[in-house]
Amino acid sequence: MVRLYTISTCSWCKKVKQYLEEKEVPYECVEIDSLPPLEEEAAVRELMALTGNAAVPVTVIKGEPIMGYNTDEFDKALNNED
Amino acid sequence: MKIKVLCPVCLVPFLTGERLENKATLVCPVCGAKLEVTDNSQEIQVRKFPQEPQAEIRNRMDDFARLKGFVFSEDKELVTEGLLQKNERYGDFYCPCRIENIQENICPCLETRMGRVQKEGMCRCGLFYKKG
Repeated sequence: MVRLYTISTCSWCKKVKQYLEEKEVPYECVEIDSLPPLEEEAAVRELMALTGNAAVPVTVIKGEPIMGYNTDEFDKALNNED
Repeated sequence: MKIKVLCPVCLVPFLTGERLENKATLVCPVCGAKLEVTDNSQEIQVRKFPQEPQAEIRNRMDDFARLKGFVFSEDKELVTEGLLQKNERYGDFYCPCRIENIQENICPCLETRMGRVQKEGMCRCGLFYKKG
């Protein structure tokens, strides 16, 4: 399962969602700024542990975080997925 | 004589070469914010030029790009929409791709003002691009 970290104001996050949907890749979206406060804090901690940055989008494929909208990296990671 | 002005948007002081009248407008050379002189008695005091949020952020982005020689991406409208949402929710034009709504993330963010576009070719949000 692909896990995508987003915030609702981010245009690149919308592009990643669109990309995954077009490729029919199932994904779980964590929209950080729509979460209740405690869950939001936990999600930010997860994100910081993954990338060291409080910026989105971050797409986690096979446990590897990909920052930003990088279709080459997405394709590479998805094609390597079992 | 150069006169010091403190920009209330990016909080960076800059020098202006001319004596400005009260209510005169100027553009911050650091972040592109449009400012209005409120007191010119000793040190020039300025505030953000009063304007609608939509005009404020568009003018700031246009002036910053012009001052730095940057161009916009085709996603300018999408990013602008995110900035306006941030302003509506959190009270300022914080970077729409960043979680922390803090001073250094007000557009144009500190990372952008410190040369990210020249180094990486674009700002984190993909709004400002290096020419060519």
